[in-house]
Amino acid sequence: MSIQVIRAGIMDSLQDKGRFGFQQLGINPSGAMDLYSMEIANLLTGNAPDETVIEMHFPAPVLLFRSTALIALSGADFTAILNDEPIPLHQPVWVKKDDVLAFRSPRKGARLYMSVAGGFAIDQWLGSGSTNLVAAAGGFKGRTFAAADEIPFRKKWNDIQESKRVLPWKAGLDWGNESDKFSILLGKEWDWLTDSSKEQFFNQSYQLSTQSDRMGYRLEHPLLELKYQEELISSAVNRGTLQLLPNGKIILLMADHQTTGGYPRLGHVVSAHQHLLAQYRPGDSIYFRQVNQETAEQWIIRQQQHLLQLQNACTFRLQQYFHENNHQL
Amino acid sequence: MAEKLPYLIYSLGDRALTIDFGNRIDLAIHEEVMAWYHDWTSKPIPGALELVPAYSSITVYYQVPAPVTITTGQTVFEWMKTNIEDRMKQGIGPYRKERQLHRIPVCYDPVLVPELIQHANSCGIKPDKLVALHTEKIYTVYMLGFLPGFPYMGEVNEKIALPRKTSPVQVPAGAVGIAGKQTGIYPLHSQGGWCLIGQTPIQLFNANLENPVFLKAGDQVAFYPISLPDYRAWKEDACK
Repeated sequence: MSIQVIRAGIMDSLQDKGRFGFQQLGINPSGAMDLYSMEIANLLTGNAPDETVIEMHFPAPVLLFRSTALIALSGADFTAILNDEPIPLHQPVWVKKDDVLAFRSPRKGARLYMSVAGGFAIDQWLGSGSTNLVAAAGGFKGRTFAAADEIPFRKKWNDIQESKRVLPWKAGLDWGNESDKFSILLGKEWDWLTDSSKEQFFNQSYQLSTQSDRMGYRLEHPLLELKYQEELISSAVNRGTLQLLPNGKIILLMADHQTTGGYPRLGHVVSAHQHLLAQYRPGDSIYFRQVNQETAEQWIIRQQQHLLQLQNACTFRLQQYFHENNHQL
Repeated sequence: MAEKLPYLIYSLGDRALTIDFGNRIDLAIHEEVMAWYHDWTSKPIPGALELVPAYSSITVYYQVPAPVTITTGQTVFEWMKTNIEDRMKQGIGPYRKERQLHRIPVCYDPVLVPELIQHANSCGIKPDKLVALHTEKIYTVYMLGFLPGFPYMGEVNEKIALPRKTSPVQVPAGAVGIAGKQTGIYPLHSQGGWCLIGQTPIQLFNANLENPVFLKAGDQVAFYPISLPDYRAWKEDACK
């Protein structure tokens, strides 16, 4: 069972929740940029939340299914087309042998996730299916997809007879943030900013530059100034960290960030908002606002609870569906 | 038992905190960092997922929610911080200092690394002297970072402390460089801004090995010079 890449997209790669426990060796965690959508795609096909999925950008790949599969899409809307028929996000979809999945235009968001029921048949590297592009390891041969790649998946289905390809339920989303304002916790060197830069910080917008990728977003904005400066000895950094570069501009660390850094840390985008950040594209603008530790932690817990409820609902609907249709999940 | 140094614990976002022993490159501080790192690796702190030791700090990545019910009104950060402070009050039990010494061959031939001559000139010494100064010391691996398996080592003799390049260039895997009083080895082909002085045939990172990274924080390293033919023979052997 496999999916053939007829035409590769930009940076199509296999990702899961990330590879943790090896940052002390300089091995960055990788993982899906939008962990929330990755998880929703998995739950819809009955997978474990951290099963490996395909992460796609636009232009997205053209994929040929070599055998029957149950898939789900979540994240960005790239106008998915299955054999010329549009298919929706956030619903399980049957695909058959020789079906072609393509994506027409980027309607919303930057990153799209596709899960396959049963997961992809790949060897994990250091406990994770994520592609680490720096180390050229993990995922599918440690790299992004290329034309003619055969991405193997595990689950074999008997031929399906369903006339309706799209299963009749949809994941309810809880995005948690409807604005362009991203909440941050203040960083260790926040107080190094001048008073006017501190004020400016929460009032100005930050545009994602074209040099924004899985490693980090370079932001374009009126320069921020430090009133105090000291050479920082390198220490560990984190996804979501806002580092102030010597040129007065911010780099916001994302999934493929280096494990250590020595630039002033002005703040950290809270975990609960990081998945939304992953859906912004170069040219888009964002703002920051401050929250406290307690709120940030509560949001993480609320998000986890929402995903747990969704998992229960998806499991129930799938079991019921398979029971009625005499399938084995 | 390690000497108790003053420290500061600060939040690194909503799922990590850093214990900072002072923003300095100092062997005594680093020993303290590694002592706590080993202590918390052998007897894990509840809720801690991952520890990253650096020059003068340890970062603890932790889970939210906490693994147990915590006092109402207390954040997971405060709970973790209190636990760590309590552990630090108790002190470190007896532990074995892991100080593995690695002798690493380096080819300092300008044919392989042409910029060596220019760096020696800017230090006001002959290339031979630069090599002698680089190979005479035993260095400590303070931390790994930047790339998988990239060791930050120190400290080099002040006479060969070279500034970083103003803009990064392409650097081959195995390149040995200096930045300030630090010395390091690029495990992978990459962009880099350190002044290059040599090239090792040793592979510092191999994803196919069970332990993909050759050096660990706390290890010690001594460099020894090898000739260009030896370097090439070594590389050829490694390819077989």
